[in-house]
Amino acid sequence: MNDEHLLTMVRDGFAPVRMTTSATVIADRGRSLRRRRRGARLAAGGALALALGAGLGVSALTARAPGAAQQVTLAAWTLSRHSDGSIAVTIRELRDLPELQARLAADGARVTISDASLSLPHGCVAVRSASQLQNGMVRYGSGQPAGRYVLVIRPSLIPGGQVLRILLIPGPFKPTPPVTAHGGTVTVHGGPVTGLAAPGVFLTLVSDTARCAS
Amino acid sequence: MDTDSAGFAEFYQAARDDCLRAVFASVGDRQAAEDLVAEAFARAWANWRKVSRHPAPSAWVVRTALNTRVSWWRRTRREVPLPERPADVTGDGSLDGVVDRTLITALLRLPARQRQVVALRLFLDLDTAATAETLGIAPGTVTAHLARAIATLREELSPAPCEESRQ
Repeated sequence: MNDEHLLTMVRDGFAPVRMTTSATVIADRGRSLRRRRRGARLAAGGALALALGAGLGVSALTARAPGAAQQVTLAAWTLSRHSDGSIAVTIRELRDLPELQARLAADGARVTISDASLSLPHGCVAVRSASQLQNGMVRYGSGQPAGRYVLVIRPSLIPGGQVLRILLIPGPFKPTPPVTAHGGTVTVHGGPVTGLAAPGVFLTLVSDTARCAS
Repeated sequence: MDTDSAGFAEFYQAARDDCLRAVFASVGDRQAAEDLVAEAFARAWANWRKVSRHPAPSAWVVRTALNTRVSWWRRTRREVPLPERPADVTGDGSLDGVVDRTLITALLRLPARQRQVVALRLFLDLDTAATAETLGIAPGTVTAHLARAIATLREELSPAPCEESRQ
């Protein structure tokens, strides 16, 4: 038996095999697949629109100050000084924070920024928590990209003799038992924490004293 | 019926049986082959603008059916080894009453890739290059698979020499 004969025999052996599924059934299933695909595209488009909206929200926040005069960018963060005196900070990674704080200080912002602890240093007195900081002194971007912190600080609105303490909390904040500030003046509570201004950002105004700076 | 639907209907009418034979010869299960080919044709319907421009739409359907089988298997993880004697072999030695048992058994003894090469060459009439592209393998590999498959099938399907001719 030569190759041609063999292959013809195999081909002929399958000749009686015929598809029994009707074209209508195929088309119905095809329509279902197409609808599902379009639905998925719409969902993806909606998610993209939401993400863009969130991003625009942050952009709008940072864009309120017309024109960034100067910008410093490290891998971990970007600091932009605007002509109206505000400072926009985008933090991508929780490192090089002392350098960021030094930059902020150089720009006249009495700010401490860390990811260290909720507890205030011994002897430091908290003046106001974040719920009381809605005077434009500091704004934070809601809907900010996951894992990023976006803040706009107006150094001129930080009261004299006080320091804005910014604590960056990695990951979702979990309610904890009350954290008592040393000195006993203000207690930050777990649960729905009044001082939690945005996911992962905790703001407090403290006295500008040597004790608070440690 | 719009132009797209008419074009698909024409394609389905012309290609469905060959696609089914190719997939049946590859997977060895008549009903599973029908399900896979139906699903692949439905996907072709849903993507007809793209599939209609494919150089070999039938090959697209068969490739999709075989890929679908893999994804179904991954989802269900309950593939069983192909039996020596297919489960739906009827008493008269034919599969579903239409395919000779000796033929399908010989095909099922081939490695899967050799079966796929034979199926595409035989039932879709693809050349070596198109077969290679459809299966994502080198043309030389197609040639080698086909040669080995033919050699094995010849051994399996050649009639045994009768006693008189041996003497």
